[in-house]
Amino acid sequence: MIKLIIKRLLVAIPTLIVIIAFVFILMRLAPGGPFTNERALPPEIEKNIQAAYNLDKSIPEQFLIYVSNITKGDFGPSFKYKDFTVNELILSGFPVSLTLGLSSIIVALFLGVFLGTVAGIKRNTYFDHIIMSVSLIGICVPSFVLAPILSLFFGLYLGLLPISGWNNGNILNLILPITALSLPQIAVISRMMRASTIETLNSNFIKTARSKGLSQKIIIRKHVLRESILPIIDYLAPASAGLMTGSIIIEQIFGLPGIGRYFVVGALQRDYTLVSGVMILYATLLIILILFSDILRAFLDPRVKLK
Amino acid sequence: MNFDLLDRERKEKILKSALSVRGRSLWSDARRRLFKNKAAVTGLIILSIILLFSLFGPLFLQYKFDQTNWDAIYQAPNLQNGHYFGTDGNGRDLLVRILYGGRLSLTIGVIATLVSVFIGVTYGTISGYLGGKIDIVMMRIVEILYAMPYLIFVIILMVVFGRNIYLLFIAIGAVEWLTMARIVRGQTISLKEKEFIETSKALGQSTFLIIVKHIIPNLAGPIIVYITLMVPAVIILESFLSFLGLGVQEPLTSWGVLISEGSRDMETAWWLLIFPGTFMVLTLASLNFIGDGLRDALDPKEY
Repeated sequence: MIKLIIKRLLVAIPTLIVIIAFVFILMRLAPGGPFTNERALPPEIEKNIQAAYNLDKSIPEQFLIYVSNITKGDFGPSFKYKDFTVNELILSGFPVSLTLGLSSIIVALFLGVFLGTVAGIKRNTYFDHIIMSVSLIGICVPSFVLAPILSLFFGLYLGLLPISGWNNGNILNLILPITALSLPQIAVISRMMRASTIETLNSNFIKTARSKGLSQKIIIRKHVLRESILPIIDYLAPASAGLMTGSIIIEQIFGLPGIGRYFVVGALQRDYTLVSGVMILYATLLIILILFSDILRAFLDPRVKLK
Repeated sequence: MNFDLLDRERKEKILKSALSVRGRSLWSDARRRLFKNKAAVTGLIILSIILLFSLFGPLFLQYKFDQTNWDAIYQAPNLQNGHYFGTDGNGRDLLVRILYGGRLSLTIGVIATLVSVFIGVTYGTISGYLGGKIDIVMMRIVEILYAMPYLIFVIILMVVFGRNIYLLFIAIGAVEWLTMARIVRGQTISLKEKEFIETSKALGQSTFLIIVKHIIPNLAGPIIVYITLMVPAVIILESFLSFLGLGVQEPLTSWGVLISEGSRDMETAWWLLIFPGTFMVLTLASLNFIGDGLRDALDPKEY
């Protein structure tokens, strides 16, 4: 187990460096810098600005300075939000995005696993057909179609829920964004869960458990669930990546002040430091999640430890 | 019944009828199973209708996709004046724009998918067929790339290199190939142990020809299934980018652009959101049905 964790961490470091280098090079290749204005600045001022942001040094030097600052936890000043550092911007947006993302993934996991298991056990009944048709809607209706329709219906026509704003994390403000963000994932997870439940139910060790005379409840809870949940754990990291990118749009539609919005604004305005800061944060989170799902997998599936 | 005892005429008859029976290949079996699947057939019909409409529909409509009319801003759907789906904020006919958007969204879906299939199949067969250290390194790279939030890469690419449709094809294709490469690699590894590959090797065929002539044709099944499931994913991705304002530019349009504009105006003009949304959802649903149907038809494992 410890070997596995160390191996994963060793892979994670080059991954992060590659990501940082990639973003760094791309942003430097882009035509037009953050200080390109319609009116040219006097050369001395431009020189001063460039010196202040280390833009006058050679590109390898800039890269080294940037990486060494990151290892100290400093993402540098934002190029566009003049009075803020990237750290401050991320810190102000992160709690919002984290709340949104974590609640969505929890909702998606619980509902998806529950609905998928039930559909798998009651295969080919009305209940199964209803769940599978609804999940198809979840797959085919992208969140950026669903979100406006939800806010139109519940917010404007019925007037039940607020359609935008953060309001200090008021639960009412969060219901619609979480629904829109988690529904596609609930759909995918419940379909995967249904398929793997059916497969597990047909396997020999379940037949053994049945012939031992165990009750259906115990078979499902102790044997079926443990085996059939494994594909879902592998799906955890892709699902989170999907939620991260999804949250960029959801934050925009519902006017939430999360980091997704900073990312889009930063990219459009060539705010190099802000974009790569957010990107590194996303990548780190994903790597941690993959590690977490690997550990969880090894914990649930004793066969993994043998490798 | 002893064959030798039959008279000549009957023998000939039997032989002839035996020759006229065509063997059922994997593909004809698969086709039969596919056409038995009601959901897949419905999907095929709906998709064909949308395709035909997008291609030929604009020829029969009286409005052009970029024709503005300041006297008809935000008109609700109306059967009398020819704006069957209403008009947008510039007085442009929504139906024509949806059809044009459909052309673009579907084209992007197909081309970007082909790009990624090309990369994925090449990468996967090479990695799987050569095996050994090359395989380990190539798959480690895929693993590392898996850990990256792709869409964010595409956003950066679009921002850096400008909003160019061709770049959009390549950018989407270039980030979607990972799963394809994995599937293809797995299949290649099991294929390369088969006798017919060993025969070709013994006959002295080059590695390149073995891959192109023997491995890739045998991968057709999984590749086709994956293509039908990937086109909808790419259409969503394009719409996602267009929604953020990073995709297709005016006066051209795609379903993503229309939905994005529609969601801004939905309080006053619901049709601008509902109609493009419906078209897109129907297309995605049909493609998913067809993909599921194909998977069941080509890999008849009972679920």
